[in-house]
Amino acid sequence: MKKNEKIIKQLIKLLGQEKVYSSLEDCLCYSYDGTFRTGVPSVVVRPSSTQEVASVMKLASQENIPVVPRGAGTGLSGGAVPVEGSVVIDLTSMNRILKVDPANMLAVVEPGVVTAHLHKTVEEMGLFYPPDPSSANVSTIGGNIAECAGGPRGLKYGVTRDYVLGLEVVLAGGEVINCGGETIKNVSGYDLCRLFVGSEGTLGIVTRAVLRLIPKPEARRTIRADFKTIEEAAETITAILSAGVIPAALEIMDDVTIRCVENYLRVGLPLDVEAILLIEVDGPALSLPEQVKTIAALCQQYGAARVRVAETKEEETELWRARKSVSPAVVQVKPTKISEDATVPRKNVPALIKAIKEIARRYNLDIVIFGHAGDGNLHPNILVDKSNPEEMERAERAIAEIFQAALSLGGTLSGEHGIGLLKAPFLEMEYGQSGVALMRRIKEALDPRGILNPGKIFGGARN
Amino acid sequence: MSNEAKAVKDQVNRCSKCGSCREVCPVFIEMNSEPWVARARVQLASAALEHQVDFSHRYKEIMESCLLCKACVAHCPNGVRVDKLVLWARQEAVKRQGLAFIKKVLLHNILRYNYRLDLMAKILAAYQATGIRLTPKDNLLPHFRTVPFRRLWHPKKLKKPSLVVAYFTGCMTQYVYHQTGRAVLHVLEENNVQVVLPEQWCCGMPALAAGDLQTARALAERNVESLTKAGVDYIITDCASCGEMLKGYGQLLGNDMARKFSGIVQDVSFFLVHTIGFRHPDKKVPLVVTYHDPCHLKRGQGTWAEPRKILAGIPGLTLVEMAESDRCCGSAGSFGFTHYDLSMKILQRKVENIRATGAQAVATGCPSCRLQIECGLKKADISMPVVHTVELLSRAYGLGMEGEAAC
Repeated sequence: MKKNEKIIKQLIKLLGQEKVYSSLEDCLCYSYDGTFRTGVPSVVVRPSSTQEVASVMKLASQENIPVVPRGAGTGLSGGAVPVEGSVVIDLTSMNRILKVDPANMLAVVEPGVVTAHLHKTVEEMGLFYPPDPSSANVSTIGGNIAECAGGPRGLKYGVTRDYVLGLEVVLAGGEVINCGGETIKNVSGYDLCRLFVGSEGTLGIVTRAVLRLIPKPEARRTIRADFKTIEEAAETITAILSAGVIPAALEIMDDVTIRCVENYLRVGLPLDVEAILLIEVDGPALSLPEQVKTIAALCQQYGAARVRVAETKEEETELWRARKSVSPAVVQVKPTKISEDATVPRKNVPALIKAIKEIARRYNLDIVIFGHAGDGNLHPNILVDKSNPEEMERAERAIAEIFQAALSLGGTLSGEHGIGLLKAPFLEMEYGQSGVALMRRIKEALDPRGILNPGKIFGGARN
Repeated sequence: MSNEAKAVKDQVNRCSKCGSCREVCPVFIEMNSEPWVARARVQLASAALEHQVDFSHRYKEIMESCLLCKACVAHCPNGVRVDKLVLWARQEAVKRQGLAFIKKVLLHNILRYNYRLDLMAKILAAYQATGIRLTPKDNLLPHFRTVPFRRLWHPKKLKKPSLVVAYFTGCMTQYVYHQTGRAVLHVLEENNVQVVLPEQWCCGMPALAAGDLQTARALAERNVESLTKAGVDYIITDCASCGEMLKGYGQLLGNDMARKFSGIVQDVSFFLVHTIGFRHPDKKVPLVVTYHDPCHLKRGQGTWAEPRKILAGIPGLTLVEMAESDRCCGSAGSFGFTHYDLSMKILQRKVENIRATGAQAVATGCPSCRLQIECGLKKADISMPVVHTVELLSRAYGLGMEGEAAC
């Protein structure tokens, strides 16, 4: 306790009283992220410059105190859940878009910029920042970089890592480094940018990012197709991509999801199908009718029970409404939903769905499956009541089996949520002992004292 | 675990901590740090329930900084009733530590007695007549009337009315906006509705919001008894907050009489559109108007289309929608006084949205919002009247408008 008070005093000296929160109440307000796990830090700081972040890291490293960086706290793997007794660095005060450079098609931002705010700002200039995690309206770019956020547009446009050109990072000891830069091409030295993206705050703290932008697509169109079987839906996806059309989004909802949404919305979704595909294409307005025609024809050819093409903006909104209502719909069934993001190569999507359904049956759990079928990234959501420990225990065992199923189908534990706390026990399943040992060596090289977000990715207590 | 604690726990459990509330909470948007967002209040309520925190100064500060605007509730994918959790947290704090002195005096010694409220309004009116301004917060004070509405104005006796309603005037109409009260009487009379004005007290919302359940219940009981005795078809309000409060009496008191009472409460705009089917006026009101949705009318009572239908029914009137018409104006009853700077910041965005419409007047359905917006417009040097929707309808039926109340 005494040490704590000393640290808090020093932090106040470094940053000023108003940027340091140390009451239990404040710490409780920072004890969670978007998961059901919690941990109470001993103090929260809200720096507003790189220098301030560096000074906090210098102190933390001298005093050997764990540090947990944090954006909006919307992560779904527990990456921002504080380690007990840690210093939380809330980066949301650093929320300036420093520049948008249309000539070089890039933006330079601070980590606390809200993703949707960046979207809006650049789109007003005819530019486009594609990564669109579902929390984009509140999530921050810093958090997106730390977790390598994806979203529906991943299939066509890639994920956060594909848009990070350069980073300014504060290291564990408080040193500030730059990697990458403002050029598209850059092969000087190791690709540290890629190392930091998705490192979940365990290697350094991003304080500035150079992000690549592309021209904003001129128009978009949406198609919905209903399929009697998952296999037909999967074959259709392969056929569309083989025909040379890459949709901007290719979303799937399984039968349980459809039933939940229909119960909630009553919009006449078909209850006798196994899958609904929502397909969005974007690009030059002139090219879209052709693409829409191709997709609709392929859907028919591969057995769609019904194909609908949105002709107006209203129809488009209507088609997307079902997908966007999944979250409110499923909580009508049970209050707690555990959102997973097991990902497999595209052609194995039907096999993964089958496997998850079998797991749901065996553990007697409600699991809805939806997600980004185009890139093999599914979101099985396990619906439970967290006040029921027996059910939670069953859910945990089911999750372990879902991971195993994804890995045995050539997939990964996580497509876009990260490993964090929740998936840490399973990392060796994916990479084996040597793989994880190599990652640990990298972690130790960058953070020898193990103060940066300890326990995340690798699990266990700190060092 | 008590039923109440169980209900709190259920709401806490529903919160998935997804953080969507960060997008809409007006307080969080100004403060920009986690303790000021709905999700954090849920976490703190949970900690209080588990006895992890005391009802400390900081705890109360965080719970008291909620507008109860329900923006988070409407936006929450899980439908968590954060407003209820905040009210519970405030009540628990009051139960354990009592009310702050000034609140206790206002809620226990003044709000419960009409003659003391009358007297206070009179004193404030006299103070305002002197022209002295002690603090900038004085600008938030409305222009008090020396005689209360119900003593000054009486409904006409109709020969063959189609319905009989009790008009719950609310403190703001009673002491400040007589023009709204006159318009309500006029509009209802024009639609052949007999109005009666039974004895009534403050609806109790200020007490409930402060966590003073005892006063809220005492006032509710008195109102239920008095207005039930009047034996009317409906109880009409012109105030969004009063309306929501009266509709909640059933739950608050938990008896059949109160539930029956709540069942016949209607906002005046809802009543005009659905219950009576208001007569379309023929006099032109050539105005460009924008409409502000009061939180307690739109999210509190689900009434947002009705005022617009009334405005659309007025010849010559053009409605221009403002951006974020249902975003809280920052008034939230006494919040404007207790959190002056924050309230003014929230108001500023409302004023900007109003300015951008280029409208000539603002209509709304809540006297507190009206007062707040009037102040905001005055501060921004925008000369634009703010009126209750029924005042425009009344004008279209031929009643002249009183001069706009000074802010």
